[in-house]
Amino acid sequence: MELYDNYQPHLHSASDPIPAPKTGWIWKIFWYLLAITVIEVGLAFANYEMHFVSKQVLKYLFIGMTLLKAYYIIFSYMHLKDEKKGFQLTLGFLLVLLVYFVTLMMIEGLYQENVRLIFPSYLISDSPAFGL
Amino acid sequence: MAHAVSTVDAPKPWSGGDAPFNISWGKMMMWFFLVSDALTFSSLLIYYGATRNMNREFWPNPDEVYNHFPFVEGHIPLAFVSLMTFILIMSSVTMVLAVEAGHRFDKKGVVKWMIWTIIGGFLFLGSQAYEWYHFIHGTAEGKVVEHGLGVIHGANMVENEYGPKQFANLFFLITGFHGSHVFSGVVLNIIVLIMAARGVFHRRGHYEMVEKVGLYWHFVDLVWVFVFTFFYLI
Repeated sequence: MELYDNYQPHLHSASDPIPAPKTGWIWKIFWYLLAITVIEVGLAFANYEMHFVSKQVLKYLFIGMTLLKAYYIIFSYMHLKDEKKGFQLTLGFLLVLLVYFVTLMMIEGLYQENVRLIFPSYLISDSPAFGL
Repeated sequence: MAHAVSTVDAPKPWSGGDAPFNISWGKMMMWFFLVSDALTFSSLLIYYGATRNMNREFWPNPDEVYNHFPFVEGHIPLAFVSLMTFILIMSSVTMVLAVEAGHRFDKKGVVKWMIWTIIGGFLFLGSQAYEWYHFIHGTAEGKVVEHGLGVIHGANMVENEYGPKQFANLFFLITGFHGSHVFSGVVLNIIVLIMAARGVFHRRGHYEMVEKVGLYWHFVDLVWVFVFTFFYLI
């Protein structure tokens, strides 16, 4: 423990009195997460029964709500908002390339579907649809 | 001259032996591990999306595949996975409460909330076993295959009654990989619970180990949030 020896978590001694818990913020975030999940499931269920909105619209709505939930979990429950800005950026920059990767692979998937539709016999035995 | 030398030799945050981010070595490495694990899960989920785009007309509607609920006859879409999501969010809350108790040096609180977290983990693993059982065994009707090959019930790695082969394979791969993360998380939680109950952290003077397994446990919850959206909602 030589390296980082100058960093110590706040040390307690056994004789210190235990302070009262402060859990208000934890339950607040819990209700946020629960509410978002209930809205998601409600929308999915209602759309399954009644088809009131296109699946495309719903898809982007769900992804948005998922990212919101991820924000609450990472920044509040994992205490990332209490870390230094530089550390947040260190972690965040690693994930930026994912945006490009997602876009690339979704377009590639649609292209592969086109290839399969235009040439039905092309690679049929390797096609994921084989065995239907 | 002496003044000039002292300014050159003044320690900088980045000159080593220092913690520029004010975060301990163990917690920082846990964060870096979680980012690399996030990249693994991302690549699996991105491949799932690409495969789904390749087979849009064959891809089954998740509401019609995952529609079992224990002790209930008939089909209820989404109910069971919503329950699993609730269990995992709940166990995430008890984990934050354990971390909070650790900050207050409250040994009893840590032990109590860790036990609840472990119970939540086992509940989730049991739910996943139920989910896999019904996915593998399938429906009574099954799917009649052309060319007189018979009827397919449920799913395995070669064929399944729901849709493309990759649909079942990716279900097994991604939920299985997530399930193994939950399992190892439960094991880590049990180890930390035993250490906390035996007073190891009390003697050490801080409960940072609870924070570290807490980070891992929240990450597992975070991955489930994404799996839930991409497998069951969309």
